[in-house]
Amino acid sequence: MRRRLAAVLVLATGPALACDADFGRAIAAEGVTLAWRARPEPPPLAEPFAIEFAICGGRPDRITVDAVMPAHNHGMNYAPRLQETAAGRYRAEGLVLHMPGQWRMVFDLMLGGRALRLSSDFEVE
Amino acid sequence: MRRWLVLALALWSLAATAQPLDPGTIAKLLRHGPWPQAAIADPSNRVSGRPEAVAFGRALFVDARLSADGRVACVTCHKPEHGFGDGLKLGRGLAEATRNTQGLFDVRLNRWFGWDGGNDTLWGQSIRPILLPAEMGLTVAQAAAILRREPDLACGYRRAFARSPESVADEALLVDLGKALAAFQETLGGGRSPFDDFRDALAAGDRIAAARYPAAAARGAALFVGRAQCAVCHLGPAFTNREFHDIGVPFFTAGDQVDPGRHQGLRRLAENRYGLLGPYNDDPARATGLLSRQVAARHRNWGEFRVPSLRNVALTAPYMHNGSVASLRDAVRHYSELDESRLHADGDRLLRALHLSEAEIDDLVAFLDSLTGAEARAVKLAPPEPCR
Repeated sequence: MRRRLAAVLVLATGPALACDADFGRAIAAEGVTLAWRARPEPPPLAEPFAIEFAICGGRPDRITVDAVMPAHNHGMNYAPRLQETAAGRYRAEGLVLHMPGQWRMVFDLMLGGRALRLSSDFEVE
Repeated sequence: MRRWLVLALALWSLAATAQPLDPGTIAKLLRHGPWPQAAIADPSNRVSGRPEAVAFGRALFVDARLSADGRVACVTCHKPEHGFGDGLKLGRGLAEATRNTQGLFDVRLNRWFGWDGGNDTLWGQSIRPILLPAEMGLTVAQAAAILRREPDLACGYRRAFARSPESVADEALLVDLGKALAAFQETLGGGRSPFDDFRDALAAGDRIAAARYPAAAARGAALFVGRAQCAVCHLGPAFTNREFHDIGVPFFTAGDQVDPGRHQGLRRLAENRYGLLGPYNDDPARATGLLSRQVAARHRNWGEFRVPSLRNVALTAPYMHNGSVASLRDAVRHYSELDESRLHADGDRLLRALHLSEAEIDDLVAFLDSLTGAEARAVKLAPPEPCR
């Protein structure tokens, strides 16, 4: 299966996006918008937390969520548990960002045989 | 007039002995407090915080009857004068272990227990040495039989758990024993340190109080959160991120064996009956088991070991999982002269040899030493009161 890395546009909260009204961060690419927020917000350092997110513009067959530290070439020590809480809305639990610095939240979506990676960078102190 | 003179002298002293810390450094130092942190009962242990269980656990902790030869107790390797470590390179119960004994001050704050994190509860970790042949060397049945047979232990059990040991199956009895030991160890707070007074003075903007902190320790603190980047892993009030890293310490053991560290710990965790995912977790909601369910094995786990707290670290030499580093000075030198070739190819690229000057090493050692307080240095274990 061919996998494409989409150019990612990280947007601030914007009224034009239908699914980001309740979320602090939004990512859009190839007609898909993913809006997410941490619980608690901001994501804590070295403590477990969850994220909630919504996807607009497509219904993925499969979703994986991960967080990585690009500068250090490693990710988390945990694989989050993902649940769909309502149509197009999800919650991932069991994330731990164990070092301070820049992290990247990575969402890999399978949409009808098409792979789409959405990511957004954020700082953890 | 006299008051002004004292104030002027104190300010002069500050100016003479310490470079003022920049706001960024102060902000980073403030993240290592406040201290101590509030005690929270462990939901996986129904007797956590219960005074009768603490008393029973305290009695068990010093009781050598819980070993195969009747001569090894928890306190044999967890001595108060060594921060509840043993001062040895490798632990020694019935035989020599392959790892250094870890201290127990503030152990309640751990997420994972032991160098490899093979236990996710303090009570599970407390059961482990009882059953290990090289440590206390009992079987489950033997431990249960001792508890039922000895009147003072049976008495302590009844008070702590409000039931007779005769009515409890062997394994459940062993688990309760671990839970009483954990309830006691949860009370082993390491107290405050000179660094905490410094940190709180910075938080309050009290330059006079901050100036009482030794200048070398203040420079070491700035180095710790600055160029040396120690606080990337030794972070927060407990000076640990509670996770695992490969820091280039060799993982070969005596006899050319290999200690796989976290890699092995995750395998043990998956098979562990005495943990959050096992049948003895007292938390009915099992919310406590989230991270134990979601923890993921990674290739880099090989040779990773748990990042220990640095609180009261001056008491727990020697250092590292294999006790190969004799002193705090040697520990700082390890990072200063780090052999990067020992790190895994996909290990943290963050680790680089620090190439510290001798003066910087002195400062970092002074800072680390200031993480140990008078309370921890003076701690004693009073003999338990016999239960009748």
